[in-house]
Amino acid sequence: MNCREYLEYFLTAHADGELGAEEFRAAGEHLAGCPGCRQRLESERALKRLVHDRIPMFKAPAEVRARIRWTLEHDSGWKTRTLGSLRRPWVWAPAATLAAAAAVLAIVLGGIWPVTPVPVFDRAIERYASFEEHFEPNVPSNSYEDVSENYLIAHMPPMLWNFNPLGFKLEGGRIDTLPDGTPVTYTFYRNAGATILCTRFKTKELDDPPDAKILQGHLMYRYKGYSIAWMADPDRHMVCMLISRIPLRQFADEIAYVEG
Amino acid sequence: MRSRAGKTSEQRRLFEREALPCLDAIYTAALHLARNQDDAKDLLQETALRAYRFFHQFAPGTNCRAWMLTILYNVFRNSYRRAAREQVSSAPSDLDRGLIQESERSEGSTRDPESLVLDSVMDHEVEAALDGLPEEFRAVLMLVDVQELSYQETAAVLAVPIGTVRSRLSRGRAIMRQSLDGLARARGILRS
Repeated sequence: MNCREYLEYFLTAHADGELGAEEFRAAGEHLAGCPGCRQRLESERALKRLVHDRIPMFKAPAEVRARIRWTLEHDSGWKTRTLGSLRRPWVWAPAATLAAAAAVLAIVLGGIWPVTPVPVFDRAIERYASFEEHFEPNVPSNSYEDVSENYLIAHMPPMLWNFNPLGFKLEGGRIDTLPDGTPVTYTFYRNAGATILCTRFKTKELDDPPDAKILQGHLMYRYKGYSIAWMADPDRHMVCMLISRIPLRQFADEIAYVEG
Repeated sequence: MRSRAGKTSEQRRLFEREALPCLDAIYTAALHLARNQDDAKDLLQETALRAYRFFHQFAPGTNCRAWMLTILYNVFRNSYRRAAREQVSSAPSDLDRGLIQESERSEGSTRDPESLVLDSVMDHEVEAALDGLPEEFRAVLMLVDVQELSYQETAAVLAVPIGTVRSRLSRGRAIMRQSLDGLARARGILRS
């Protein structure tokens, strides 16, 4: 082994203790006769220590710790609160528990008990139904990057769900306005058997709609024949909904699958 | 078709013992990925809750920090498209140090007495040199030198081959050395 080989292929791993047995032996042989490379090894170790010692570790913020602890303490399987709502600690009262159970029963019984109307859902499924017929993008939509960048330029969240692993193609994106003037994005996906709409918009009122099921860690709803995933982010007052006709549990599984 | 059962109290205790102590490390990594506090908090929260949800997949006795970092990088990759990341300014001053609570990790940091050059470098200069690295080099240095992961663990977090970790680390350290030598030369400690 010559110096160039040692420095290029062995030095770093040698400093990190990551050489294999044979490599370690060969490196040791070279260093035995090469003070220059020995010095370089010490120097590499010093740089490693410098980075280790001087780059600070930051403390996880107290409110995030609190939310995580809350989840641990209140984990009981079926829940009707999401991540976002952990900002407002909620005490389970017997009456509330009964009400929640009744709401779930309403879902199960399906048409026997009246469905509580949810205007934000009604609006979204009306758009979804029209997009199923025909979706017309209004932002450049040749790629995820196109759509993402245009959302960002419009000060809307640029993150896009990627349903490609399930055979969906991104049909494109739209930026529209809601009746109250708030901007809203619509991102539409289609495969041979199904479609999915992702919509995002800002809102001041952020209560989670009633009658939710927690599936795969998401608030999921079956509403008037549609499956809806509801993801609210109270810090930025932003809501993201995923809507499809895919059956509820399957939809929840598929969302979890692409989340990775 | 399955319903989500709550964790057993034993699993919860195990999570508290193994995963909660990693939160500072995960937040630190999230800050370097997201480059702002709000997004880093979201990433941390999402990662911790996902780790809890999938905790039955964690093998007790293995490196929990590495496992959670893998989840963090997955969450980051899935949530933040490349276009959006490139929009974010890469200036080191983006980290709002006034608001961030700092926690010095090593109480008695040992310094190589022979490395006069490196001793003369200020903390913020080391951070600036690291922040100035291209993203793929910075990531491996953070994971190996700051988060103390092995090459194999780092390869799993970044979803790249081990050889790539090794070569990026080599290149990243070479660039850092150049930056720091440049500083030392400017101070007259090193002759050109």
